[in-house]
Amino acid sequence: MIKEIVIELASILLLALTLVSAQQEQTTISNVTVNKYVAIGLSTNLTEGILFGTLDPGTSDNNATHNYDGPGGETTYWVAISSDSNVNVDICIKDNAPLTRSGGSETIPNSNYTWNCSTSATAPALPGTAISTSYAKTDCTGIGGGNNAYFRFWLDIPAGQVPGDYNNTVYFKGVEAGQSC
Amino acid sequence: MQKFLLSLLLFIIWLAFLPIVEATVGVGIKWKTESEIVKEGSRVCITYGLYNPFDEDVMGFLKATRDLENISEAEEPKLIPAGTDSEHAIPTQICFTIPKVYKEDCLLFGYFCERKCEEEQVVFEGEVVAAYQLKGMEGTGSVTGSSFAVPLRLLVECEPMKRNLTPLYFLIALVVLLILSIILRKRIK
Repeated sequence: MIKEIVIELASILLLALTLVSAQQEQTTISNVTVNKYVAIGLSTNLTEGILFGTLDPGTSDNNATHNYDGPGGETTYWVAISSDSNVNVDICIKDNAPLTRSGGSETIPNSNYTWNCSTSATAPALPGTAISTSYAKTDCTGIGGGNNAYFRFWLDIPAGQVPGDYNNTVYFKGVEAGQSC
Repeated sequence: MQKFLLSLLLFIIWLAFLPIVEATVGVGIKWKTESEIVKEGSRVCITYGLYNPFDEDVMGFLKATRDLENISEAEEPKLIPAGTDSEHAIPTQICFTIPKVYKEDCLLFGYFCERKCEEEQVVFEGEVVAAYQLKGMEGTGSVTGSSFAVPLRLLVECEPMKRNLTPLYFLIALVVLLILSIILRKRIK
């Protein structure tokens, strides 16, 4: 009799333990970091440089050679955000120095070198913003992968400017949308 | 002759309708961190991925800006072949040598020092920029180049240090023993 009671009690205890353990919730931390990636590139004509051809002193708002040579007068200067990107981009622009005469020290001031930017290839228009040796954020912001930032450039040649070839370097920098240049 | 002219005409028409070949040039960057906790006096290397989904090979490189510029050491420019997608980004390192930035209060010529870490945390802040080598050009105008900047903050950890005076106690004990032994020797003599 006692043996049976003991077996019954043991069975009940075992059942209770099984139920309790089945109801116990096990937790673990799940964590993942998703990489960010973005690629920006320059169109063919922008890669070849921003050229102005041969200009006369005392002329203003001279177009860069590819400002209007796309279909329907579109600009063919653009910065492309690759579709192989997962962050949106703001575009910044600067130059290293004013346009400086090759083999000389004469310059065309940065205030004479202007640009404008848009996400539409027909939209960049005068008046432009003078380029600077510090990065400035353009109006082309929050651009997603597979889209472009279109640019046009203009140059004023001061009267009496010393003849020659004038050069500098223009940099386009992408930053994640919302970040400063 | 007529056949030749017709062929030539057809060839010119075919050429006119060929799509304009656009060769975008640029570089891409893949990253997983924008801030790291580092120890002073250490060398920390961070790996980024450089890729190039565009049409021309480039010599890509990393460089650091602002506070990070003077403490950084990047790899030489390396070939990033055209058509390299982000999944096959080429690992590229940039390393930082973290200087000693927190004050130590020393008792004796740089020995027996302690550090309480009561100052504000030192942070080296700047950008890691992915760029590529530029080509030259002729005529009036500007050479152009593009890059992408990723923010990076290196937060320097301060490790508090208690002054360890044990070697000083040993030294004092040694000096005392030496003096005692000299006195004893003199008395015996």
